[in-house]
Amino acid sequence: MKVLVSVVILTWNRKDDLLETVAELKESTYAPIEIIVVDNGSNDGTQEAINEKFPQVNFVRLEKNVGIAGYNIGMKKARGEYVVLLDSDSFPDESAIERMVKIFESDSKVGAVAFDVHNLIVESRESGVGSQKSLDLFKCKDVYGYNGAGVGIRKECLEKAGYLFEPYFLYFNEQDHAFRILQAGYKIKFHPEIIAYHKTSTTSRVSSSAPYFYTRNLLWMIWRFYPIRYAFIATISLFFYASLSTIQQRTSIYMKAILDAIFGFSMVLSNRFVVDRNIIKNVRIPIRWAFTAYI
Amino acid sequence: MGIYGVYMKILFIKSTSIQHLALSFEKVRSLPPLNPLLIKEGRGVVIDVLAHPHAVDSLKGFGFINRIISYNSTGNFSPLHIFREYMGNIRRGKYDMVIVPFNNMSGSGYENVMALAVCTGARHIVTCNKIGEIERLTFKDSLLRAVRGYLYYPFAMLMTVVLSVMGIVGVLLSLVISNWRKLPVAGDQ
Repeated sequence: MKVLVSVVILTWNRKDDLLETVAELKESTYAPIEIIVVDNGSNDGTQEAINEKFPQVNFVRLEKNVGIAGYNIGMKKARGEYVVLLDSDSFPDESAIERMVKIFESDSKVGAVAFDVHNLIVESRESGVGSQKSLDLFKCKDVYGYNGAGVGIRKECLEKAGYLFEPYFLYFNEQDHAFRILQAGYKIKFHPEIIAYHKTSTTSRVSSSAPYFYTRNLLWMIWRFYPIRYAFIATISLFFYASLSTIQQRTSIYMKAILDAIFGFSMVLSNRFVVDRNIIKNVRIPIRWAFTAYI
Repeated sequence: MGIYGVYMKILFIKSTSIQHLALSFEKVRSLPPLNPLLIKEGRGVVIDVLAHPHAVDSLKGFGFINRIISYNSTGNFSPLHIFREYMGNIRRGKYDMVIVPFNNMSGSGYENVMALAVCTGARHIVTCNKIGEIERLTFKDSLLRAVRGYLYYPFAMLMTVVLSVMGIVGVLLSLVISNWRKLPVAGDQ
C-alpha cells in the first residue's frame, strides 16, 4: 500500500496561479495525495475559488500574512509520511512525487529531496519528464540546500530537525532549514528528473522589502550556524558590501536591515546551532548577490 | 572576422542567474547588426560563455554555445584573478563583443564584471539589465563605469570599520538588555 504524501502550498493573493498548481497536482501519477493550502490572508477571493473548484482541498485561512510561519501551520496539519512544499506559483511535474517517494524509500537517511526547479518563464515545459522509464538512482546527488518552490521532506525528519525558523518571515528560511536537516544526520538528495516548474519572472521580483529581508536574514543565518571564525569573516564581508551598496545605490535599506539584525542578536544567539565546517565549506551562499539584485 | 564580417565572436559573462542569461541570449539576438537567423542556426556567430564551475553543467543544455570557459573560483569575478589567470586566455579569443548581464536595473555592483569586460579588449560591450533592456557602451563608457564603481571602495571600507564598531556595541547592548529582562525581580522566588 502506498504511503500518503501531503502537499503544503502557501499562498497570498495569487488565486489564478494557485488554481493552476492544484489542477496540476491532480495530474500527478502518484496517489494518495493530501493537499493543504495555507492562505496568508488573501483578499482576492482565493478561498471561494478553491472551495468551488477543489472542495477536497484542506484550506487553512489565516487572518493576516504571517510569512513562512504559514508553512509550519500546514506541515503540522499534514498527515502524510512525506511533505511536499510548494509556492502557489510552482507545481511538480506529473511524475515528480512518485519519483520523490522512490528516493525516500531507497534510504531512510534521506531527509529531503530537492526538486530541480525549472523557471517556466524562460524554459519550455518537458511534460512527464522520463515518466516512461525507471528512475536511475545513480543520478542522485547530495546537495546542501533546497529551493522552497519544490521540495519533499520526510515528516520524521521534520520532527527531529525542526520546522522553518519563523522570525525570518521570508527568504533564507530554506537554507536555514537545510542546515538543520544536515546537522540532524539526514541527507538532502537532488535528482535531475524530479522536476518542479516555477513561474518566477526574471523581471517581477523587484521589491522594496526584499533587500531588507535578504540582508537581515543572511546575517541571522550566518550568526546562527557558522563557526565563530567563519561568522566573523562573513559578517565583515557582508558589512562591506552593504556599505558599498548603500553608497552606490543611495539607499538606507541595508543599514536598517543591519541595525535590526543586531537588535535581534540575542534572539539569534539563543537559537544558535553551529554546523560542521564541512557543510559550511560545501554551501555556496553568494553574499554579494543580495546587494546587486534590486536597484 | 569582425562585427560586420563573416562571423563574430561573442563572449557572454555569466554574472547573473541562468534564467537571466537565457533572457540575455534572447535579447542579444535582436541586436541590429546580428542576423537573428545566423545565431538561431548557430552560423555566423560564435558564442562563448565565461561561468563559474557550478554553472557549467546547466549551460551545456544551450546547444548553440561554442565553448564554456570555467572560472576557476567559486567567489565573485575578481579583477585580480582575471588578470592573473584569464586575460591571456580570453584576450587570445579576440572577442568582437562582450555581453554583461545585470541582475538589477542600473548595473550597480557590477564594476568587477565591467572591469573584466574592458580587459577582454573587445570593441563592443553590451549590457543587458534585469528586464532585458540592452545598452551598447563604448570602451570609454565601460572603463568609466568600472572605475567609478571602484572609487567607492575606500569609502565603503571606512564605513565597514564604523559599522563593525557600532555592531559590536549594538550586540553588547542587545545582550545586556536581554539579560536585564531575565533578571529576577525583588520578591520573586
